[in-house]
Amino acid sequence: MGEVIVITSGKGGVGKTTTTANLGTGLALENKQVVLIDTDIGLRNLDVVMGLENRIVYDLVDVVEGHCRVKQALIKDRRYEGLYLLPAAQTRDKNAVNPKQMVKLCQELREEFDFILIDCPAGIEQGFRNAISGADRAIVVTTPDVSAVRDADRIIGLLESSELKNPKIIINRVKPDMVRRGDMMTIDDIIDILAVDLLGVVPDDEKIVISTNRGEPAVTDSKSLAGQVYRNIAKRILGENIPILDVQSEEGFLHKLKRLFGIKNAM
Amino acid sequence: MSSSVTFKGTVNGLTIVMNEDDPFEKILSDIEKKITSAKKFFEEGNLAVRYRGRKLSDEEQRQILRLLLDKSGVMINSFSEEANLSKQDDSLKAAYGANGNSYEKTKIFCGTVRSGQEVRYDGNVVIVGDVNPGANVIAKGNIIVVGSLRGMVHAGSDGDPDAYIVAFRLRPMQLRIADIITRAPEEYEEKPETPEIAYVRDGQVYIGSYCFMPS
Repeated sequence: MGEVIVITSGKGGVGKTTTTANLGTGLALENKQVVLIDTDIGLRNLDVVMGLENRIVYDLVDVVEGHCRVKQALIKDRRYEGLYLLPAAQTRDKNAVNPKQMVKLCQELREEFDFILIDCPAGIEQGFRNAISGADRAIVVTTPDVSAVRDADRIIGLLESSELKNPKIIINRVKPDMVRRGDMMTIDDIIDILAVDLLGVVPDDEKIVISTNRGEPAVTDSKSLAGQVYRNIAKRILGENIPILDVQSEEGFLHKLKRLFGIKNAM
Repeated sequence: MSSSVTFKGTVNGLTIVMNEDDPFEKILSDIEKKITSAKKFFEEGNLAVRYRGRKLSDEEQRQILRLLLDKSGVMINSFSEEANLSKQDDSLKAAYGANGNSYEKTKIFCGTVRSGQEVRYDGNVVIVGDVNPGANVIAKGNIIVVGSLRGMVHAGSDGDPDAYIVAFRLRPMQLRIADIITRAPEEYEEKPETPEIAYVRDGQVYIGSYCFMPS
């Protein structure tokens, strides 16, 4: 029996879709059978980030309305064994699906897959209700912005009242320099407010932008720090106990080298 | 024979502690003796005098006040009973001394009150957890937050200005007591990491550090 995990945030643009793509790929790299569902009907993105846009024939709405079988709508990612995508419809809106249909769909996919990752749309309306309805657990993505944390708090409250207890959070786009200068909320500040378990801290990484545009999840890039973090998060989801990478005190390569040679930091 | 009264100098003036069991005449004469022996104390221009330890009738109050005026030779600003507290803490006095409200019903909420959530009750509310920004706690009585208060709270929501708010970390978006609305000052302020109390006096919300009452 597979597990259904919804990836949500409340606020838009914090990295739900990127997180879904990377965690899904990360789990597939761990030899799991994974399906990603894009529930952002009308504003689909996950197919683009995964680089599978040109292979869409059927979508989520086709499946719930019975125009096709689930198997037909699933797009197999040829690069990674065991990774599938169920894309959202682009010509419809959130009301084209209801929570009951999502529960039924998740039940069906659960039989065949180890993980069903649901990419939730921004907001707290119908799209959000649909996305969380079939989920067993939730991952809340936030950034170190006051507004994103505020929305994450709201979302955690809604998840808790929908019986999705103990959501975990991923703090995305942390800029270590800014945190060190005191210009950005620290991880501790955020945990203090949200009072939930931390699943991972993803540093701001230009490689993410590149990989997202290319449709190749950063998790596969062994040189990317963000990719490393996503691999760790995937392992944590699988129950492995991996310490959280302290990106806040992560020094630049140059600084490390200087320290190694005992050169005083003159910069 | 021990004296039936003790004089205590405080930041605000003088407090006279009286023995409850001694006759009033003895108290009067002891006060007189004290004034004479503590002349130095009364060099200051004027004093606010408070008393505690026993209840005084209006007549007895007048007698002591006259005695103070006659013998000490200083101006007496005020003479009143001190609320039964060990600390000279105005905030506590405001909260408890003037505490006309006595809501018997209390709701206890365990956990974090998150953005978009609201706890509303027609009595006192105790939050065992945090109140986050965007969350509301509204009580007809008093509000106590055993945690960080970062959201909006409204105590005495039916218009009771005696209601008060206590929080372990008082960092509210907005505080409302009765029909008074206040918000935190704009400029950055170093805030204490100790419990604080908010209460109303003379139509204004005051915030003071909260110390526990001795039993």
